[in-house]
Amino acid sequence: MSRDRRGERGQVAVYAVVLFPVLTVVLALVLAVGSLEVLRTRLRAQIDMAALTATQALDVSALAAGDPPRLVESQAEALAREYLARNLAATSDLLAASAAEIAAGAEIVVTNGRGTDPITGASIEAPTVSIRVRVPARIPLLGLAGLSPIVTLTMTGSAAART
Amino acid sequence: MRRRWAGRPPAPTRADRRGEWGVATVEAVLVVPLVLVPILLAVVVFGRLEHTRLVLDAAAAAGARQAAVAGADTATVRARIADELSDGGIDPARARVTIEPAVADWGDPIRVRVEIGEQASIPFIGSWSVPLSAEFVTRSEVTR
Repeated sequence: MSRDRRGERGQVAVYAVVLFPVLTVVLALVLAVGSLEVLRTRLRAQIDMAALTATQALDVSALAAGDPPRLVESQAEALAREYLARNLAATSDLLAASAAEIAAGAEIVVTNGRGTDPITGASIEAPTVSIRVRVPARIPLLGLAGLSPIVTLTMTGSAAART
Repeated sequence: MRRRWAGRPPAPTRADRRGEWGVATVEAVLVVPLVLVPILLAVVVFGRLEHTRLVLDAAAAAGARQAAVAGADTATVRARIADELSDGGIDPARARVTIEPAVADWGDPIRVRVEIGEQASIPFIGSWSVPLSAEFVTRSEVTR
């Protein structure tokens, strides 16, 4: 066999052995990052929804007495946790732990006074519910690219009760 | 069988060279449409699906907020969802909207779900109907 022909054979091998697997891995990574970002957006909306729902825990008697609005802290925290779990459950197929477990591990801060939000760092002017939660997400495409399919996302969100 | 030459191997003849060019062309003809184009199209199709997913999320979240304020499955809630969908370039008629329960008292949970069957097709590979959905749960703010 001449040197030239050996060269040709090599070229076929490059396509078959290197190019195709590399392209498959690149494709898997592109799709994995895409779905991870969409999941992040969805989680952010779910956390916002939970925080917003928790701001319904207003101290009604104080409001009736004409005081500025304030949140009943234990009630607001319980509501935030409950609705975080309810909303996360809609995405349970992408989570590596149960929605209830993730919500139970969430850090929830209810602030009635003015100051700085300990979770988001934003300044607080109205009663605020802030949430920080670590969500283990399952992205099977990352496994296809040779990486760990479980990624832990740490997300925060907050909502304020204004009149 | 391997042929051996005493000195330098003979230069490739014209026929050999034509053969090489042919191989490279055949490879290009096979690899570009069968491998590269489907991969590129898969990325594009996937991007479109993810866009639809984001629009569904936005519509369901906006609908859930509206449903909390209305405390029920009302025309306003459905109009809000339809607006969000058409703003995102999705025909609202294609989406299925579920709002449960139809009437919720103060403090009761309301679930808003938006579903759509999106068509994804990649030439040479296939075509699928991909079910996409978004769901948010909130709490009625209406005292009845």
